[in-house]
Amino acid sequence: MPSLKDIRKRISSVNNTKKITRAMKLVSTAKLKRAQDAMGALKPYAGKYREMLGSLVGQLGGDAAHPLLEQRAEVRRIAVFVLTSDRGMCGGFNGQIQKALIRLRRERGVELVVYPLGKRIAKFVEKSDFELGEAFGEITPAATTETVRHITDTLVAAFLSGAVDEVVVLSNEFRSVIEQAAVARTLLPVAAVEQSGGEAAGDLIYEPGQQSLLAYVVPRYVEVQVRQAILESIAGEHAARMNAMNNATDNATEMIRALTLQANRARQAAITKELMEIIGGAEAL
Amino acid sequence: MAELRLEIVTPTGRVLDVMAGEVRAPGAAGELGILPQHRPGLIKLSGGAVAWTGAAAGEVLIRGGIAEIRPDGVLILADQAVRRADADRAEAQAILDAQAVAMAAETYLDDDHIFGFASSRAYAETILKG
Repeated sequence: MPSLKDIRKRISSVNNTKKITRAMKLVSTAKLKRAQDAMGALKPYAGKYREMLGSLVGQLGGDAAHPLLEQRAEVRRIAVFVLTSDRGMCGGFNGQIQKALIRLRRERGVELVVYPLGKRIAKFVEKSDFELGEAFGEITPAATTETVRHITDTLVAAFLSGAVDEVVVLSNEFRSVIEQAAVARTLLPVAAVEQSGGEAAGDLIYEPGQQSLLAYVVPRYVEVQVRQAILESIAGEHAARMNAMNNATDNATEMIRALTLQANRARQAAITKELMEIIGGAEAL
Repeated sequence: MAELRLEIVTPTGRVLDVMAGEVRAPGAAGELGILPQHRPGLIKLSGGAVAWTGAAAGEVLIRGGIAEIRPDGVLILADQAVRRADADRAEAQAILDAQAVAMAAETYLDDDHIFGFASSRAYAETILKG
């Protein structure tokens, strides 16, 4: 049985850990709020681009021609843009993406080229037998326009050059603060968007022409999808870390309670022992 | 006097939502004047200033985008937008410097990138003109 001193030392250590996990939870809560605001700010822009693309594709019908809309007859190689966090301490957030990547390879049965964003997945790919396309570095500073554009340009170039026949985004979808699920979504070719009929083509002005506008809207729509995946993943990471740290704080509280009980028992036993010794000594006299 | 609603939205949020008498915007094919009850359409925009008249008249500088015109309003989806008062001259100069480096490197650019390049240039020059 551990001594009273050992138990007290343990309580102090768990208490320190609890302080750290509680602080990390508070930091994640603040960061989550900012990440959710950024996600919300993108929503009207992303929604309108989707609507515009739907309207243009709807108006052009079968004439809607853009290389990023073309479905390839045979898919031999797939580029997978995978997003995780840079740091751990966020529960199963990164693990579920790694498992989903392995599952994706098994299910699709074709060659995958991985484009990681986030230190965790970059390390995993480095150690695995997955083919590496380009590592985009850390996710935390990646939500800038320049980085989003660079990632989009790289993925689009891989698709247009024929190096890959499809581009998939594998990331954690932010469903709620307590639920993030690994989801693989096709980025390229651009999936059929909901086509809105709206006004007849003749009633609308298209400057400088429908095809030219389509050529402008499609790449930006892809860019918006990339940005959305990054922002969702960042928000999901903070939510996952907040929950993980909340659970860790609760566990530490429970552990301190159990250890305190144990310490009280040990203290009581020591007092009883001492009393018995005094009584024993008195009786001997 | 009839008015139309002018909204400017960027990937980082809504920059403007006002009622305007007339809106002037830098169309890719030349300057654009939009009045209430304008024929609806989609119009590509280059970099420059979007100005509007009315009680809250003002100017927002955009770095290219697309405008959706409806009879009762204009929605501009801009790659980047900033109110004239908040425009950052250092950022504008940085854009021009980066472009000078890219031009010296003679990097190949497709049509979309050339348009983006020109829009960014127009945006930066409009800021620097003051």
